[in-house]
Amino acid sequence: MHTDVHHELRDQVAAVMSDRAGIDVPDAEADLLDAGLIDSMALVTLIVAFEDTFAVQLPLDDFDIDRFRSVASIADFLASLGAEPVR
Amino acid sequence: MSRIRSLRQDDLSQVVALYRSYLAVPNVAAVDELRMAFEQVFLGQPLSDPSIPSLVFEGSDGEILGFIGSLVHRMRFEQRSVRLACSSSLVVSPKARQFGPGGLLMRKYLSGPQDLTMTDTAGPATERMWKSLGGSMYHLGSVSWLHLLQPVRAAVGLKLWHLGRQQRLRLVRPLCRPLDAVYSRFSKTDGTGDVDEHTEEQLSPQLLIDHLRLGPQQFDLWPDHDAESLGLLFDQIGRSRSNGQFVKKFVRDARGKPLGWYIASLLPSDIYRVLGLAATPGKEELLFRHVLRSAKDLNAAAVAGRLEPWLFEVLPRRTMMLSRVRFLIHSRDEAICDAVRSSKALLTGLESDVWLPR
Repeated sequence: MHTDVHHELRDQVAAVMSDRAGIDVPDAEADLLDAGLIDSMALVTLIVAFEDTFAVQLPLDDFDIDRFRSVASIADFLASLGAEPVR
Repeated sequence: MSRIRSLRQDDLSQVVALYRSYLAVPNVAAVDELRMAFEQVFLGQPLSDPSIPSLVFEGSDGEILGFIGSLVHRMRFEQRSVRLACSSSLVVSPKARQFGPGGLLMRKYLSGPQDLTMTDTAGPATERMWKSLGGSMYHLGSVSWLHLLQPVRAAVGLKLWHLGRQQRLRLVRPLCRPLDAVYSRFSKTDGTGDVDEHTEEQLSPQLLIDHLRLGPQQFDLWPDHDAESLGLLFDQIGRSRSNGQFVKKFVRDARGKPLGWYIASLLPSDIYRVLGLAATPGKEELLFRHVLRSAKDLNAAAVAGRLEPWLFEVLPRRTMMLSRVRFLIHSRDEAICDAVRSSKALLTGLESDVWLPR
């Protein structure tokens, strides 16, 4: 993915997290799990918000928590599912 | 990588251990009772359905870190057959809470092929997650009623039950009697003498099927029982120690005409919990008096149940309304949700998981 596009996706992921789950992260690499920012409620809210915003379907069965470790890893994960920045 | 998969027989020990450690309350059911109930209910007939299975959240090392139980009922919605899935016993290992397995299990479960998903024993956390996944609350169904017969013993019984010491209630009962006698003297609202001429018989599965929709209300959604499955379900409920004494009665008037039916349990806390009841139009109050009579005959300290619209007209004056748990629903078919929310769904405690040992 082009770097600018990837950065845009990260920015949008961070914006969704702030708007929909009230999670404000200092930077794209900040560890959300170590900071205790993700719990069941936040995770469900984020999954629904990402699916709505980026028109992708996140897997229902397999789950790798590391994909939700940071804004950067979430953006990578969404990109691997075909997500693109919303225009 | 963690994964969500269907519950298997060899998961049961881990699931029961997880369940007990998650609840961590003195009154949690014993291992053997839970294991037997979980095996029968979540893996056996008539309530398990391989296409809407109970689910476990399995960590990358194979350890079970979360569980959600599934009870599936065949229903009729207007002219078609539908499936109701009751979500039950959602538990998560403390060491996995930051992974959010509870939410993932719920999301997976709600995405199943069932037509309607419900739970009527949810707390605030489940309610928030459920709503974020498109579910909603059935407000009236979230209200329970409680009618006290012997308030002191009811309070003591509940307290002892919460402490897991309900066996001591036998010793405490005589101590409650004087104060409860005073209460009875000043609350003469529970006369049940007019039911003497009626007869009660065991409510068989077939009798329930034949008289399921006795009342005046027209339902759009109702259980589609068959006698064999209903018999198995009765057996499962009756076998559980947590349900105490299981009572199911069909009531006829002096001429032998059906008056109604009720299903209830005298719990170890001395609370008589009504799981379902229905009355012939115009006989609602009489039927309810049978319930009260039955509670008194069994020496219950209080009678409780889930509120239904028609009960407003027959519940005794001194009845408390409580809203401690949430009745949540989820469906991709808005018409089904509307039927539930507008009380046009016949959902008794049999469709719930309230009778499962906890």
